[in-house]
Amino acid sequence: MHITLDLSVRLVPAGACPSSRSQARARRVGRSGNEPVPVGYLATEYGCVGAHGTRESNLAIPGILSPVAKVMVSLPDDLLVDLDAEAARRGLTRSGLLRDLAQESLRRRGADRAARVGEILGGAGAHGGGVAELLKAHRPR
Amino acid sequence: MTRWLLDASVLLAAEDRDDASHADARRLLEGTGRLATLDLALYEVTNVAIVAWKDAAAAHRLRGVIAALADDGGLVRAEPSLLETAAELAHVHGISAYDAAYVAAAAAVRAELVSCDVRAIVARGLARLPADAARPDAP
Repeated sequence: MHITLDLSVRLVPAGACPSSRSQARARRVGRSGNEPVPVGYLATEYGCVGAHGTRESNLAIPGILSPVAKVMVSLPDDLLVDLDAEAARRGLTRSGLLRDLAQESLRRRGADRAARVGEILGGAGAHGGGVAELLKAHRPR
Repeated sequence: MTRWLLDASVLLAAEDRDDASHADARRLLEGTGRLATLDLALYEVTNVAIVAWKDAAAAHRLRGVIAALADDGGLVRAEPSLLETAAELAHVHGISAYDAAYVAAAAAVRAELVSCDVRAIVARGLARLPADAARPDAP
């Protein structure tokens, strides 16, 4: 396994990398050379370079850099055409659109869960408090 | 955004209006943050509701809360590898295997553990209180 990193590293905000140009120049790091693996990115003057990725090895500085994984996704051709059209309409890259759609979907699911829990716990009872102690007292010994 | 893994005590606090952490637990569960729990919680909350509270309706509500978390992608299964890690954590920290299972589950999904158990879990730096996790400026 090879890791290729340019030595002249500059830090860029999360989301600013990779650009489409730098993507084209990015070098993917994989076991066989063709096998995609999660990677993080460093911005170098030569573009974004994949850093082989355990979570620890991704360079991430809270508030400045966050790790970005590069993944391979299989899509039907027709769906890809529709996605590209939507990305163009929104002025986004394909990756940006997929990121937005995923975040929207998860946010909506979280909101549904919150509403459902609120409805359930509307009927919460009064049981005397001290739940942490009660929980321990009723565990098998 | 931080993902929070809630142990059984937080779920019970959300159901018990008399508990000191009730309001914070509710705020956490009814917020849109990323939440999870361990499947062990299903047994633990049911046990307390039925055996201690003798309240089948409370048990039903608590199972409903866990089902809602599961549908939001937040139910962690206690797989053998997780239990192996839990056994090690229990040994290292001198905590119960139950508590260690939640600690291991939180680590497995890169979440922070939330618990109402100050003495065994929070004081050891293994979890946060619901009040900390529910703060508007929580990470």
